[in-house]
Amino acid sequence: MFSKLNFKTLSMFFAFCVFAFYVVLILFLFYFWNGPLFVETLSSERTLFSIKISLIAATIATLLSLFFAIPSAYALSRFNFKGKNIIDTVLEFPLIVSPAALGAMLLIFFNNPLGSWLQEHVAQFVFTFYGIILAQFITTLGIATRLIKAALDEIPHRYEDVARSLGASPIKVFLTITLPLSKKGIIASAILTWAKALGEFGATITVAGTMAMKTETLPIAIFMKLASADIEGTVVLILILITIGFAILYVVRLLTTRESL
Amino acid sequence: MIEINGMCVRSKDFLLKDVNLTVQSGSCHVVIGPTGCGKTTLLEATLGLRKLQEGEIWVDGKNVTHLPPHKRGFSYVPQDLALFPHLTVWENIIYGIKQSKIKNKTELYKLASELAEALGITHLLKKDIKNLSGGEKQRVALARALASGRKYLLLDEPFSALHEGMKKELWILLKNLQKAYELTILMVSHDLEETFFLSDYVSVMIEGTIRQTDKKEKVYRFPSDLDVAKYFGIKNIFSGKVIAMNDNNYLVYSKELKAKISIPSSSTSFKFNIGDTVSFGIRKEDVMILRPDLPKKNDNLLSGVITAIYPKGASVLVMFVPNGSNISIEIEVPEYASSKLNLKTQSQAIVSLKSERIFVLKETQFKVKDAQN
Repeated sequence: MFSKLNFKTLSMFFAFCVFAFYVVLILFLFYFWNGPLFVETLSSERTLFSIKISLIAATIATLLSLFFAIPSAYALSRFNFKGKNIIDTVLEFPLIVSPAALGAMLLIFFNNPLGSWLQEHVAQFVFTFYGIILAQFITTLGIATRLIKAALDEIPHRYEDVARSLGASPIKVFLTITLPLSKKGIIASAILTWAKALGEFGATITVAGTMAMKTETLPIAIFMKLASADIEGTVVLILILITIGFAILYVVRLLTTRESL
Repeated sequence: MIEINGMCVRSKDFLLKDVNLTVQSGSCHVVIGPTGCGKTTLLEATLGLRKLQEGEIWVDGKNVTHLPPHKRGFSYVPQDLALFPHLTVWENIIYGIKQSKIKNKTELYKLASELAEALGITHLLKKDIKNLSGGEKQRVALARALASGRKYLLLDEPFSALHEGMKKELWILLKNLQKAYELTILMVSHDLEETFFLSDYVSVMIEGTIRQTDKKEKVYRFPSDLDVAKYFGIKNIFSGKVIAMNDNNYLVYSKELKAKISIPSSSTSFKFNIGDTVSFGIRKEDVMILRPDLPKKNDNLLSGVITAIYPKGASVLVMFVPNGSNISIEIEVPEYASSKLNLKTQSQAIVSLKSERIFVLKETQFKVKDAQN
């Protein structure tokens, strides 16, 4: 059979495999589907709160990540400087270290004098909403920088050279040439960063805990339901998380595609 | 006036050595050389995109060596043009005007419209860059470079991607723009025809060094050394010994040609004595095949055999071997002249190496890697 398959068909088969792995997982959730419970859970104050803080925290963490990632990615993409290779390597740090370890490192930091001082004088992070944002920010920053750097690397520096010769200062060049040209890549990076933040669990639970109506994000709520052996409730929350995630990703993708047409 | 003094630029595997250039105001100075000789590096360093290890760059008496690119006053057109793909044609053209700190920009916008008109792109102004042809893109790039009102233009082989017809049309356009707007142009090219068409002055760059700088006629007529001559595709290069001399001429005996060649002393700045070895050359179009029936008044006459004839369209390349010699002399004859002379292979002919067209070369230890064939 395989002898008849050409490379195109074979590669498409693998693409459908990737799709199938996830779709099968999603479809089997419906084995435990409970319609009335879905409505009840979705309209419960606790779930709505979880949805709200998940969306707000993921959005703030993404914006913060982009705020740091865009200029740092520009520096890594365009300039040669001492320590560049080290910084570049450290971007993979959140991927190497497990999210739980990253969360533990944050907790350890806040138990040190500097961390304690920050907690006392700047903001309380441990077991608070700020902790969720911080955990998601730390988890996504490296990835956001890596993704945006890849997007900037795609833009030939020749455009910037010409813009400078036409009298534009470096910051003007960045704002009028580099950013607009890498807009699509940056938006794609932002979407992935946001999705990663929305689904973040390990670091968030370690830093912010599992307090209902306070620090319980959707992934944490799912974990709590599962821990109490409430499979039907777990399925409902997973479906809510999937629906919200995909709906927002789809809308953003639709908007950006339309703009590029 | 742009002055480049003792410029040295070192990159990973390349060195630009002690480059000295003066681009006179209102002139077009072309730096020509083989691919990879450092032409683009020279432009980038002049623009401020590369750090100078040594040397200085002056513009109108002002030292700009340490100024950032946007403060040097140059407009730059790179080889790939780098038109901003997210902007329309008009937005590209006025990009420089928007960056200008001049308060009243009316004159500049007027200049932009004027340039669009002169370059024949007014109908394209609302179009996206991706919808333009190669020639249209070229015109937009020139308009963008000039619309900011800058008088100093750095051009990096801007016509290399165009077909012959379009190239020549744009050469004329650029010449006209240069005159109309009194532009000072420093351009790099590897195209001999383009160089001698557009330039007032020519510098020849080989392996990171400037080998010759002069008015274009002089560079064309008198290549300074063997590498420059080879780069220009000149194959008729010979050597000989000075056997006699007077105030006006050297008489050189060439063993290769088995002939005595008279070289005017005005064709070289070197001073030779009897017994000195001389390298000399002549362009293929400066060798004349004489009609057998006419009296031979010309100088440096050589008798020999035509060994091959290669038609080239408008002209014919003739290979000629002097009697007793084993080296070929290349001769380019207009097609109509070739027909009239009834040239045939293996036929005897008499040729003249016009003495006023002979140039004397300075020997160099360098070799041109990709000299034209």
